[in-house]
Amino acid sequence: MDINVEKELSEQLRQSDTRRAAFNRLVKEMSQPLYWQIRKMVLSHDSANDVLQNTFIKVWEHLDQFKGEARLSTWMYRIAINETYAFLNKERTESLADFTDLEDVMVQRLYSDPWFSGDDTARKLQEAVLSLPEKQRLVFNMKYYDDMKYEEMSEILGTSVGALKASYHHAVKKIEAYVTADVF
Amino acid sequence: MKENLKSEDYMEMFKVPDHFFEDFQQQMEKRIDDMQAASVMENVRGAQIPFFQKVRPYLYMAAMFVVIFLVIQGIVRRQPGENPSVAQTEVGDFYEEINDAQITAEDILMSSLDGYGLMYYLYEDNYNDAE
Repeated sequence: MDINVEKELSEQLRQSDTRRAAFNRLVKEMSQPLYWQIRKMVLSHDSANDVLQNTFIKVWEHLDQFKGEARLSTWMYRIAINETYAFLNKERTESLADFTDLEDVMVQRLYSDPWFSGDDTARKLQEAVLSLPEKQRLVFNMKYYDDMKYEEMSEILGTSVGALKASYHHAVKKIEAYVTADVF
Repeated sequence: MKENLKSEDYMEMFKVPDHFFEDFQQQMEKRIDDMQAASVMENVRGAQIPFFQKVRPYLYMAAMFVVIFLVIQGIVRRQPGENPSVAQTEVGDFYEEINDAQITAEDILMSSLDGYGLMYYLYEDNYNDAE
């Protein structure tokens, strides 16, 4: 979203008479980038849809708390990431109760997901990404797929640029090791 | 690796239903409308509640504390150790009812017999009768 549009929307969201229209525009502008960020973490479309809805509900409910110190999109990314973590934690608790590993469950879901059309290589890569810890997975997705700048990632995740670079480097090494281990 | 898969490729692999984002926007608008309507209804209902209904739970709670207090007070007053004069009077009355002159030798004998002694006493009587 363009920074000028963000500023304009931030202003409109603070005023009660323009808030509703501005929020509708916000949904239109931000639903796609947030959806893909969430989908890369939860993988299934249905789960991504649920988390995205929860994200926008949280945004609507906490609009008064947005002071404009950070960019509107950054604030929304943070909410989306928190909602994603909350969703994954809930799923993890449920899978623990069934004595199963969440990552295994997610891989199985990916194989049977009608909204996934990747080939074996793509599946293998997704399995490798799923083997990463959640935070590292998020860093990898943001850098590798979205080519996001480290400074922007730092604002969203509240982690230093140096730590993010190291995290991405380790993630790439782990994924390479995972993929090549199976090939040879 | 980076040359093979980028964001666009990712979106190629992970599909979304047709018109998902358009439908999503409408879905969100409806949810926000519902939330606002529910919030307005709640405010209206809150304003319409009569004074007695608002304070009723507090009145019930106060009444409950009064009942508990009265019950505890009643239990404490009935404790026998707390009022020795009553106990002494009751014991005194019991002893006054027994007159020493009315106690016979047989009463003393019977009160000193245990189960075995009683059987022996009866058996001996029967034996003597038979004799």
